[in-house]
Amino acid sequence: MLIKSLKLKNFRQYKGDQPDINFSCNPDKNVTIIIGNNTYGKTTLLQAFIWCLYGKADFKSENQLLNTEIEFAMDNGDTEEIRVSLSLIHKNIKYEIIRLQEYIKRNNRVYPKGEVTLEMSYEKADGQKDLIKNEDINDKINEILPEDLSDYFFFDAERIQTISSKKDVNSSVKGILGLTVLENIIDHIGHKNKKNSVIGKFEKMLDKKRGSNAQKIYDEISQLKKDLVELSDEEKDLEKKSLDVSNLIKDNEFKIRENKNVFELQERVNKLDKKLYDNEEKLNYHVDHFKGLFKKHSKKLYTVPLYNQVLEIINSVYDEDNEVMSFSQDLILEIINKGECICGNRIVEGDKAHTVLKNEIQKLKNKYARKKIIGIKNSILNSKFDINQFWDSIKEDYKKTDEIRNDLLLIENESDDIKKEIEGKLDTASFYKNIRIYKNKLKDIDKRLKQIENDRAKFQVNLDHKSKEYDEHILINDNNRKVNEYIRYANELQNWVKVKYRDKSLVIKNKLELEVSKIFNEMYHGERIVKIDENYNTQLIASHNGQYVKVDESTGLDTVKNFAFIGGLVELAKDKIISDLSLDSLELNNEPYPLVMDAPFSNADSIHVSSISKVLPKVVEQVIIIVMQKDWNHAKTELYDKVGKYYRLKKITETHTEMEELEIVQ
Amino acid sequence: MFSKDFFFYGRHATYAKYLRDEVNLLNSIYDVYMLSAILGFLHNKKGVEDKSSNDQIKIGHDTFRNHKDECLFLYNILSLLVNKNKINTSKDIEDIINSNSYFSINVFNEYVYGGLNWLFEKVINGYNHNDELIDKVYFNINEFIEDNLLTEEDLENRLIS
Repeated sequence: MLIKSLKLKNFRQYKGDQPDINFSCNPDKNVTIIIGNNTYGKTTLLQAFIWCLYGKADFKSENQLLNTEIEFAMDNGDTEEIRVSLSLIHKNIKYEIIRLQEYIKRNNRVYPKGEVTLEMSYEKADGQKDLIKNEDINDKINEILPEDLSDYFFFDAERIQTISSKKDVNSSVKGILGLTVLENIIDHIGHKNKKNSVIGKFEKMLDKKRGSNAQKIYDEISQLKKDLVELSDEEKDLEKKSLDVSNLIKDNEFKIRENKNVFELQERVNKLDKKLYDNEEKLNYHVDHFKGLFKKHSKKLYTVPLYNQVLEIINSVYDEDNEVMSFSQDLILEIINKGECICGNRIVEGDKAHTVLKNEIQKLKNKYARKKIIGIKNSILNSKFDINQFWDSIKEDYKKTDEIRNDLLLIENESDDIKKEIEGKLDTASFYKNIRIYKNKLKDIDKRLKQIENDRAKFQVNLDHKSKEYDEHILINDNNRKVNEYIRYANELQNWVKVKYRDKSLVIKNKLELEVSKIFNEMYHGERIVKIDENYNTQLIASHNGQYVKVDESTGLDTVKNFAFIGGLVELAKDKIISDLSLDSLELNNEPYPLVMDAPFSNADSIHVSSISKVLPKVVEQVIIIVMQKDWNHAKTELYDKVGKYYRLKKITETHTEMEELEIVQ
Repeated sequence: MFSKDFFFYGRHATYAKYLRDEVNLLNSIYDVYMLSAILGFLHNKKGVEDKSSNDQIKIGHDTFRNHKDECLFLYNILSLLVNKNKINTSKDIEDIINSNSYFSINVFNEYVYGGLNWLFEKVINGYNHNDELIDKVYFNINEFIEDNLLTEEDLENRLIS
């Protein structure tokens, strides 16, 4: 397909009737350059193609297509129109497509007036123009350039980054390269569950009601198949679980072996802890008893020497034994005065008897003091304190505490030693418990697996029986026999196409990879190769020490890759792809496509721009580039001798742009 | 004497409460008071009232009233022992017991403070466990018996059961 011309009227910035933009169709100078800086209307031009062909426009600003100045100049009740006319050549036939939308102003606002008008005509052999019926126009346009492929041939700088990694590149590439027709055949033949397919319709023709049970048996068969699948899934699941549980058992057994002693040692520690506790209780008991004795007897204990001393003092000054009891002072005085004792002895002053009697008188004079002293003495003597018993008891308590403390130390040491030994090791009691649980689980799984096996056998026998029964029902009459034959034939045909399709896909993919690589290597001189996968996604692989590895790509390299992809795609679309596998191959007719690009170099550096510019015109039938001046300066060197037409966008105002054709200066 | 409330202050209060509550070696502050007086005299230790902290603990006058005989008896014992060199006759004993000029409650309390200091420093302080405490108490009793009450044979002679 070649684009001949584009004409705009009131389409966005392009105010009024613009002159035709004639694109170069010269095979030697197949490049048309349109120069314009940002906001001059470059993207609008690209969108004009899309709008004309498919009635769609995608602008970042409000989707208003009518030129703003024209709009403002309208009075209420006035009408204006936007029109885009595209002239192209497809299979040597010239076509013209005119899309038109009227607008009317009401209440100071502009509204579309009526539906969009689409007109398509073609030039007959005699030069006469003939119109294509309205209802056929969209199909015709899609035949020339399918809408879902249009992104590959009309694209802007943003899209070029993602062009070779689009999600739907698979179906788009197949469309361009003619594989879709094979897919459509396969799909059309279909299968028995696809009601509108060939086989689906044949299935409907089968007399399934003959033998009234046929449908019921069919349902039973479906259910049995479903049950078998479910059994199979459950079996897989259980087998996996069984493996997991077995591994867990082995795991625990291993841990038990590793920590064999721990269980017994742990038991020993538990016993020692109990002993420790009991002994501490005993110790506390004896300590408390000791303290109890101290509390009760300490005062008495420590006063014993004091009392002894006091007794000594008292005894030294007071001789109770020598006291003559019941003698009165008067009696003794009388004896002294008499000079004779009651025993008859003479009492003379100065002799011993006289002195004694005098002392006795003195003693009797200190009667009160005597009483007090006796009182103290008696108190001391009466204070009942058995030191021996106290000492024995407290010694006993102390001895016991000593013994217990020694025992405690031994127990603690032993317990600590064992704890150190089992530190870091694990309590095996829990592992034994785990093993018991897992073994039970394993038993349950095995039981269920056996059950599944039995059920499967039963279901399979039943299914075989039912299938046979069903076939017998279905094949009962001649019609069914015939239809089954048709179905068989259709299946065979479908399989044959599938094989062809598979072969073609592989050839196309490899060829595409080859073409894209060839173009890429012309554009980029480095250690990268192109790889295309089965979904037609492109990757660059770098060479490193003799091995190829996927690497991240720079934006510039990505651009080159994407250009190469487009170039390869277009190149392949030009050729007829012939299978080299068999003589009865299918020929897939393909049409060359132009490339219309808006600011394609904006993300590429100067080196890449040169590389791309050198290669693209060679691989693409027709190139239309809408570019900024600065990017054109880089591309000019490579492209200037390929330029057949040269235009510049002139910005009159922010809302008015005009196209100016320039002379090509070599 | 022994008719008014008595207060331990400062560290003496702390010691007294410690002996009663923490180590549980004596039943009451009154027991602390009496034992301290005995130990103070035994070891010839006197002390002074301490006011180094705000801590305090009281022995009520009613406690003294309930133990009047015991208090007076100990008081008399100490007063006789302090003045034993002055005793030649039983009248001397009477004079000492009846007069305040030989002994006073202040002197008694000095022995109390001294005895409490001694008890805390020598016996209680510095132990880490409950059982280490009884070690110290036990060895102190043992030492006391050996120093003051001689052999067990002697003990028997002193015994009044």
